[in-house]
Amino acid sequence: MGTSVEVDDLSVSFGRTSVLHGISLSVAAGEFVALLGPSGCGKTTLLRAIAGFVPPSAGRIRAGGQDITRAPPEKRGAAMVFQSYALWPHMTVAKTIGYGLKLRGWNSGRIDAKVEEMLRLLRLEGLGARLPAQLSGGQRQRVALGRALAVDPAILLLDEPMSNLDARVREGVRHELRALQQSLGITAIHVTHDREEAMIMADRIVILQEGRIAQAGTPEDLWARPASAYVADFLGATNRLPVRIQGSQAEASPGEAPLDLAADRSPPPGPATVHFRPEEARILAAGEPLDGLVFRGTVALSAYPGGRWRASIRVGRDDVLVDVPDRLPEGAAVRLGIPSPAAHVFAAP
Amino acid sequence: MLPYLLLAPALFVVGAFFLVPLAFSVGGAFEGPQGPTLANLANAASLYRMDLLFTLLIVVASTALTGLGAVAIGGYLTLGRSKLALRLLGAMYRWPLFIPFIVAAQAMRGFIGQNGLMNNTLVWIGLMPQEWAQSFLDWRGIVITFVWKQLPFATLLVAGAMAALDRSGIEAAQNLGANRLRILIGIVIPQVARNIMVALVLSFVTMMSVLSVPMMISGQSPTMLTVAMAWRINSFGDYGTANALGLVSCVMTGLVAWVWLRQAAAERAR
Repeated sequence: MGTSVEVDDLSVSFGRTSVLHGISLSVAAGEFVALLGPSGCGKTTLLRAIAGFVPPSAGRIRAGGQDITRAPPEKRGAAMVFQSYALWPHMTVAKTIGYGLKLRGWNSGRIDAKVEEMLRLLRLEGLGARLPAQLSGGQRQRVALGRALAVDPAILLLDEPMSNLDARVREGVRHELRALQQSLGITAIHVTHDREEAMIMADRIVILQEGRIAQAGTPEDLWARPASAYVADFLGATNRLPVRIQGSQAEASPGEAPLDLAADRSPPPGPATVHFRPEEARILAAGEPLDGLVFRGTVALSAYPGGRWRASIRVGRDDVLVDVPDRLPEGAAVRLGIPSPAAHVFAAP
Repeated sequence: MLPYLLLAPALFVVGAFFLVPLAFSVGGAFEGPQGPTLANLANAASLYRMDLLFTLLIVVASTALTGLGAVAIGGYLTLGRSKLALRLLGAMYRWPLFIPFIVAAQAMRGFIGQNGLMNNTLVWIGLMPQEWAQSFLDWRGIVITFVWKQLPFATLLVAGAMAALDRSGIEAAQNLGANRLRILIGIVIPQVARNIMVALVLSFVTMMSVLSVPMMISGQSPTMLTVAMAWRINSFGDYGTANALGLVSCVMTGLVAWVWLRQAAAERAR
């Protein structure tokens, strides 16, 4: 069964470079939390600090209420799955999975039984005698997971364990891993830079930006209400167009109706930027009303990535991408509509 | 044509300075005043059987101790936690590499002799009474000097291989609860076993060929084959027996190299 993890005002520095700045985070027992962010945002450092591989310069880490800030890695009850899998090239699959059990003084009969159980659980039957070099990427990843799960850890730490798998295998492993975590009831903290992976697997996502938490919440919350341009951009709202804030209204192209913004989502008056996702914008017919922002532009390019067309629309000096059901002729004048829930407006940088 | 031209200087050096003298030595071992003979080998075997055994024991013991030391130092450099100790050890262990065997032997005479620095210091700080002071200028002195001199070289190879290991493999074992000794034995050593073997074979061969250390530390009988060879040449002009002793040394080192090559080939085949 999992245990809770609390990170309180945690800072980590490497020499004079500060990497984490006062991170506070609470993970409930049995919860699956994803730490999401681009390279260099501090997500792996935070995970390694929880695992005990990186000493914090300030702050506290507790597991199940117990202070583990200065505890060595082996005393934390946390098992880690490494990005490189960290399998030992000289050790067979069965020995690797049973390694933690041997350290705990289990007799060989019990170890063999547990290893068999893990091999079955991870669909690695018959591969116990193989060396890592004789396994595929997906099999290696499952062995690394088996080694971590065999010791029944209270906390499972996952450091981008799927980044080395090809897209097709990754898809299946995401669901398998999530189902396994839920059935075992382990607390899981998962580092990833893959937004979709975090959305699919996590109960809660923590987005990190330069060593600080940019926003934390459920996948739906973050998706619908990103708190900053950084979060919106990271969650797929990569299109940006300039708007003007007047009072509590955002104005798009001249002649189009302004959008009323909720008081808590309205940036200060002046220049601002609307962020939106390609799949959430629409091309409007002439005169068609919309509760949202409307821009006038021309079609610069249409491409077919599969399923639907993706049009590049030029609005003023900016180009944005929009998913449309049919091909749009290049050069055509269009009205681009961003429905109110999809328009994330932030003060201009 | 160009590849052969580029190879030529190397081939010349190997041929002129290694193969030809070696062939002469091997030939000389079977040469007597009346033509080909086995008398030199018989002479070497009857006169120097004890020296042969002495040499083998000293070099095997020194090689084993060098291996243990190299693994211990490399292991600490890889798994140690004290930053100060790591920095000091990392900086210091290489120093003996730059000291020639003869200087090491001379320094060791002054250090481990009966009235040497070691005994005097121990007596002076009151750790040992004067009567206990004994000379280590015998087989123990040779082993100590060999290990002291070869340890940095072996450590350089072993610690380098350990440092090149995937760090996350060590962290994974640590994460599962392994202490540092278990990580060293179960995770690190198996992955650098080949490098350890290379260090040991090269150390074995080097120690087999050193003359200055046994000559200066312990000239008494039995002694090492190198001293015996020098004695045969300098005192008797007996190149035949000296060559026979050289051949025996060569066979001993050749056997070690062969065992290592066989093991390396078997590993590659896996």
